[in-house]
Amino acid sequence: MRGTVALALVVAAGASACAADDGPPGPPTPVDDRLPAGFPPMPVAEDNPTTAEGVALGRQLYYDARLSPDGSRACASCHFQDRSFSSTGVTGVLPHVNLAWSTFFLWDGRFTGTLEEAMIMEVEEFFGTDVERLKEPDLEDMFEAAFETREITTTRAAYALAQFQRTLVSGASPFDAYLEGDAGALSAAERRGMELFYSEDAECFHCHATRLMTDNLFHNIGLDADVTGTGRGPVSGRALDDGKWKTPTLRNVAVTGPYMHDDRFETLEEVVDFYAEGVVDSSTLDTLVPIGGYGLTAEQRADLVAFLRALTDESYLTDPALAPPR
Amino acid sequence: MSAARDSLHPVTVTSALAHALVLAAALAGCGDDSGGHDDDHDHPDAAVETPDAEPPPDGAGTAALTVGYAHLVDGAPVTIGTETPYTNAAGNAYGVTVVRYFLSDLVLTYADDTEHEVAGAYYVDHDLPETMTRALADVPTGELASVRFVFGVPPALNVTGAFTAPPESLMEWPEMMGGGYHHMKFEGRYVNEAAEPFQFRAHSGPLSGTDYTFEVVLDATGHEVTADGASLTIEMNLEEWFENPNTWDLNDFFYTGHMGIMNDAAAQLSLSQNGAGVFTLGAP
Repeated sequence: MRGTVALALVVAAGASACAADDGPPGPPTPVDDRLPAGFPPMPVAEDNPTTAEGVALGRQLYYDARLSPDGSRACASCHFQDRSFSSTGVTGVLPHVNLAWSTFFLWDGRFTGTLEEAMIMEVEEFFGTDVERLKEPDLEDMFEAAFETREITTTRAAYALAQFQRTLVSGASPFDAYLEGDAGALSAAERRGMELFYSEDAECFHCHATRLMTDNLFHNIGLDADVTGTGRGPVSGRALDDGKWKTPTLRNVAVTGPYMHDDRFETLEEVVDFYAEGVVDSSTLDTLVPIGGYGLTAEQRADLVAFLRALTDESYLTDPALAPPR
Repeated sequence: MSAARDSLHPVTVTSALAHALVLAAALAGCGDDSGGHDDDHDHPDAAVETPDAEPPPDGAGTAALTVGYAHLVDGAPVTIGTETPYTNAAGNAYGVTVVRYFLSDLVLTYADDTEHEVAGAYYVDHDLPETMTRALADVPTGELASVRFVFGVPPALNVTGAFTAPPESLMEWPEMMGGGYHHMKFEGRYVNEAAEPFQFRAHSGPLSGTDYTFEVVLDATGHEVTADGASLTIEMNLEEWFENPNTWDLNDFFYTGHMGIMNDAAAQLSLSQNGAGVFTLGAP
């Protein structure tokens, strides 16, 4: 069962209780973060426990253009649920999925820290939110319900967004069903692709690791011969990090194209072709990637793509609890 | 548990449960462990240790012990990068990019034959300075005779899910290969017989029911834990992975169609045999 499913019920109950009460709201309602099988424990900031009211506010803000000073955009302006909260038409937008486990944010990890710190950056630096713009009765009510105060601050807005982000958990793909015992959840081609994925012949699993399908670290996978001053290097100050970019999760990867930090590949087939025969050497090429590529056959490439498509969690892409609030 | 699930998990439910209980006991002990757990460590899984190491003999004091980890090639600190500045026993030019591994169940044996054990697995990563030094508290004072440990993660701890946070969790050994965790990721590149650079990945871990851990015993004569504390340095001599008793011509292990050795039982055995001579203890 997806964590968000259980969460949605709690959120609905919490929201309904608020609506029925004309007096001051009671303390926010703790949310039981139920995670998909095999997922690691979710880090939660001690000063920002997830509550139904906090999630509801975060969800509102995620979709609310009042977050930007000119009222022109919200998070959801670039992050679309049916694309696993990734974008289309905007280069290099990473999907918002399972970010609760991240400590590096953006392709080069220029923002490092907790989810709360990342959201503070989003509110204060990316959006440059003007809290005066948020001071409207509907939002003040929601802030009061979430934080027991009607005082709106950028930090509280960010904390609410962090709480909503912690509900953006995806782990209910056919692959997960297979791992949990449904032998028919994957087709023969998908199973062959899975075996290849978890072998050193294709070597996907070392970076796209654990059930999160990312190590949340940085790698040079051989996209370019000259990597000087690109990727993680300028951020870390280490030449050894030049050309390294954050490993994106492969959760819902079929709907998050185009691919790579610069959107250079339109399709999964192009991505797999690159790994098969397009890897170029450079001064920081990751040892996990063979110079020249893995040399996969046409059938192997097709199987890998089939498996990657089996990582799509349709319920995540359509969950009403994650959709724009009414 | 379904047939499909079984096919991915050779560990039985009963044994997995037993392992989980053992692990839970070890983890529960970690919280109040001032003896051996690096409190400043960012990675709570780094040391899965039992706190109740044997008490010091009557009248003996305790002190802090710092265990450092050094990675050498031919006696000098390794230089990480994609260059190939070293030459192994088989004559392959090679370089090193990644050194990550677990050492477990550290035991200090004193000159009077008493022992002090710090159980559990500790993760070392050349790229993470915080893992390269381990602070142990409440270590009995006295002259040391030997230091021993297990290379890798012992079977009782080597169960998928034992480590829940990175970097340790990223050492996972795929469930399709039996699950658990790598003992080591040792990577680099070498110049192959076609005179071209080729990547190598000497990853060790449990495979097909064999765990490939091994015990290392190092002579610690001349080392002493005094009331003022002490430090030890465990050195991994990387070139030794490729020699003694088995000379590794890297062309035989890493080539197109055989990129790694994770699924190669013969290579796992050969590597573990070479491991016996890999470690030394730094001079007092």
